[in-house]
Amino acid sequence: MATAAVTLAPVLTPRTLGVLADSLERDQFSDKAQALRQLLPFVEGVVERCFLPLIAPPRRSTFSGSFNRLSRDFEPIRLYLNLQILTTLDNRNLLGVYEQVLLHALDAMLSTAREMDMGPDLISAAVRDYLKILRAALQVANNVNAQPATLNVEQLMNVADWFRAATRFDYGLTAVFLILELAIPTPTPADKGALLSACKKSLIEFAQSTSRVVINEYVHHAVRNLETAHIQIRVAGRGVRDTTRRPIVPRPGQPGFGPSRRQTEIEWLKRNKDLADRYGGQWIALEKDELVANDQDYRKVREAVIEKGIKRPLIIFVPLKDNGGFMGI
Amino acid sequence: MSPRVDFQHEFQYRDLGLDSFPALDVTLIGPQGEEDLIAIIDTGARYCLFSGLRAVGVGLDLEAGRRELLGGLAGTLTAWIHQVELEILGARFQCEVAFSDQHIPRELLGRHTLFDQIRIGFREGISTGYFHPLR
Repeated sequence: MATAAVTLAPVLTPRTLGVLADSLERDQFSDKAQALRQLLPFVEGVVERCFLPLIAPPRRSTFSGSFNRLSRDFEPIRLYLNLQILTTLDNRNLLGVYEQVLLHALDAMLSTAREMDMGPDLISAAVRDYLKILRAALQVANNVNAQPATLNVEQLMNVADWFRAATRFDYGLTAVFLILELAIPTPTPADKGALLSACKKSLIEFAQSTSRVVINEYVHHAVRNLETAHIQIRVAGRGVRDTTRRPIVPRPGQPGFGPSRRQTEIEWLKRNKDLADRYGGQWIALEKDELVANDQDYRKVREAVIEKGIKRPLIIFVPLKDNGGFMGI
Repeated sequence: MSPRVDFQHEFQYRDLGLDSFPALDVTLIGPQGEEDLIAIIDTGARYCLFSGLRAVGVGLDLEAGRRELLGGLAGTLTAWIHQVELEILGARFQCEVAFSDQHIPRELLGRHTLFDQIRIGFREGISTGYFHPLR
């Protein structure tokens, strides 16, 4: 599993690189932050070389043809970038750091995705599924003896397939982020649909190839329970709509955590412990990984979420910070 | 022999800004709408108590309910009692709940008509709660 680390760190856009560097700066790692910022011209070059042509493909080239070709070109670039990041971050908890950065960036992106009809539910689920698979794989990797593994040819080919699938997913998700960051032009509605379908397909391929490489119950559980697999999309209006989602239903007689339909929002609340600083005294509405409305007036929040087509909103009140410990009404 | 109690669900305390609480996400189901919220499990509260602002959204006429004065640490408040359905961790419960006619900073799951339909346990040291719908 020495290769596990190079499958990390998807979505290196100029913006996520900047966020990652800022995060290191805040943690008093100025030298590492500076090293990352030095990668910026390279990353900008990658956008021009590998992602702009996806949106403006040469004549007689289909979107899927361009996606396949450009994601193959992206393989050595991604390997180089990930090795650079691994070297820079040294022994830091790479997945932990990157997960925070990616989910933070995702929070900001989802409202843009909603405005652009870019399938926010699919994007959110794909990122969370990807992190879930990585966490499971790394958990296994950290528990085994770090002796170099001896592979037979079939195992080596499985590892190669795994790396390719991870790169295809990374390529697709990076393209999605670049569109939402307005770093590359917005594609046509049909191409938005093709891009998101390619992301979904490559995530599922990545999941399957991971379970061939890392044979473990944790990984199989993560792969069997991909939320992304149950989200269908269709091209409509200016872009793409998420159309179906499997409800999370309790399994009778089975004890366990949850099953809450609002697990994503509960995790969002857990990550955003500074809510009282930002939204104290306000009502907030959450939908998946996104804060969709906030206001001191509950009615305005409810109207805003209904306008967005959310029929069963989650709306909660955030008390002021100086209210002190809650002792009952 | 020590008594043994079984639960169907285990849940982590929910983060609500400043602190984490033994709280659950609840779907409030009225005659014409549904809304999700997060309510603190308050074994000392007589009623489940929700903001009265939510009544309209789920199709209830707030002041058509039964009026009650409820006492709390900070004084009394007027509440209106309505029959609604609550969905918690996939199970549904018919309950009489109170809607406050003034602002409340937190919403509560209290005893009346709910606690006799469920079993609840807490392990504060690991911020974990246990929930079991009685059927």
